[in-house]
Amino acid sequence: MPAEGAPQGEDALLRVRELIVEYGQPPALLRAVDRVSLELRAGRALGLVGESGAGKSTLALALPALLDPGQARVRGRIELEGRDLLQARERELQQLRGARIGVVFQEALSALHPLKRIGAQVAEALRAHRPLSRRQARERAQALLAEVGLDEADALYARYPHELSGGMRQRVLIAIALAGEPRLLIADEPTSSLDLTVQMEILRLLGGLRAQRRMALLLISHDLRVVAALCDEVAVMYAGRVIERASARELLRAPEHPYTAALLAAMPTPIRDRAGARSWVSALQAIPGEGPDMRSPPPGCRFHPRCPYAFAPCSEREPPLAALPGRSGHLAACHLEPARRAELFHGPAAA
Amino acid sequence: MAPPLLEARELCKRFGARRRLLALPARARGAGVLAVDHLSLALSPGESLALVGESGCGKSTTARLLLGLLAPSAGAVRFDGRPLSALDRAERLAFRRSVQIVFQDPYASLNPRRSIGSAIAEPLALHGICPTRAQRRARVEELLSSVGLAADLYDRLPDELSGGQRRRVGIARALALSPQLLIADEPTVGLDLSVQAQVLSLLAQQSAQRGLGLLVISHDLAAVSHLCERVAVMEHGRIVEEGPLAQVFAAPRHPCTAALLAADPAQLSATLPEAAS
Repeated sequence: MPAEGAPQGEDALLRVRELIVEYGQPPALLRAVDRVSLELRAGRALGLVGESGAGKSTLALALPALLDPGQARVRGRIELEGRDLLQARERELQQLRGARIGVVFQEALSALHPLKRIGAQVAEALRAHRPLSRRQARERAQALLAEVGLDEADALYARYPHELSGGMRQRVLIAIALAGEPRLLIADEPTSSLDLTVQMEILRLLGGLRAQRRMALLLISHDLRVVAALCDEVAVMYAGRVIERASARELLRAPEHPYTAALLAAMPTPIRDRAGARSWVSALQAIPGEGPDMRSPPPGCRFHPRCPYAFAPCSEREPPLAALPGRSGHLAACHLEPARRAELFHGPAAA
Repeated sequence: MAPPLLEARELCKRFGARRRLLALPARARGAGVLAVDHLSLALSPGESLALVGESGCGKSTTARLLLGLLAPSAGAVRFDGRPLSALDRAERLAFRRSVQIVFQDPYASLNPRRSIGSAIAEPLALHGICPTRAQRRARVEELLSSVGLAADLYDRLPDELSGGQRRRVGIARALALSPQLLIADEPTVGLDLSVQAQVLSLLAQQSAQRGLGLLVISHDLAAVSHLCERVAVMEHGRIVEEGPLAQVFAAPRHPCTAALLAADPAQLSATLPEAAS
């Protein structure tokens, strides 16, 4: 065990080892996150992508130890700056949350107190971390609101959440998450209920804040495009497992798991030139079916029932998440021969 | 050219001329908000049109006006050349059969205590299309399979379904009366990308098979580009640009169109500040 707060140098800010999160009791046991390992170095951005039910949000809650121990069983290791959060006491965790890890949740409306003014909520978050007079807190809160791009911070200060647009509420949530000056910001689908134009603004804001504050970012989304744009590295989750990991660039250029390749083919692309509009429908390839029932995930590779390339071993043995020879830092869990994979799906990804 | 199936002429809708409510900002008092402002559009049979714009531009209000679910403040909606307000009972029923909607929110648009099957069967019973229960059940099972759902979902309740499945139920229900035009209000919002692709493909396939006209309302130009031939861009209750999709995409003339086109996550990385490493 490293000493508390021991300096880790170039080591990981966050290191997750074989994390398992289970809900319920047998026979209705549901393993939402299954043996997930991740690392995130200081100042870097890691994207976590997958469909609903893949375990992304459970992971987002598990990392800052926000899951109710009465409902979820968490095993494995979550090391933040060398400290194992799963062994930490609640008091210690409370000091870490906000100050070391900030979280931006999905639902901006339900995450804000409906009856408290915006300014008061930001000031409250600031005062939770350090002693500030009311005036100091107010000044800092206004500066923070301005930093997240809310220009008329003065006027906004006295507003209630319902008076703000969805995009503005999301900015307020980001301001609150930044109040403790965290080293790691976890953003769980921060833009999924917003208009595309507003989504782009929020994502640009997150990218900018991360660079200015030299803060690590764990961005969770179902949208591979979003994750790849903002993150250095991407982990693809399917049915509780990480099935592929690579640099964002590499993942878009040359996905190695059939599921990742299918996700890429399902992304809508704007038409810039065409012959017959209807013919473009074929360019959008849906992944057939849905993710498995997590109470009884399929044996072997969990994607095999939906995989067009599945063959005998896929339903028998789970493929390990293995490094690809000659592709540093690219890992994939698939039984297909790498040469066969290249032939099968690197064509569409390059287009 | 065939006469339009559905046409809006100089359509206006003004909401809330409220005066007495406290705490309303000045602009919301008095005259209210003109959500739809002298909007005209026409849909020929079998045609597919995308109505795109940001939240609050009046897209969904336009859909409700076109369906006759809201009464316009001025202007008129015409079905087969006749204003909706002048339709008699029989004509109104024919209109309802011909123009159907897939609502935005699949949670709110299905009765939580009613089985999937009976939700889809309801319009069939109301319009007397399948008079007996057995006929209705057979037709509903056929509809379920045409939207890619298993027939055994018939007796399930909405909360037992995933978001994508619910969206399919909404489409099956809208198809039950064999309409000529389907209005889809934000068909992909709130869905995973992979499921979005399934829903878009399903709409495209159904529209091709049935010669069904589509009016797709969305804020996502990239998504609707897979479905529609023509696009109309809305801002502040008005159509600011309209034309064939390829033309509008290749050379947008209005800044609002350009902004929507620029909202492409795939292009995001180019506009990001350099990250600290």
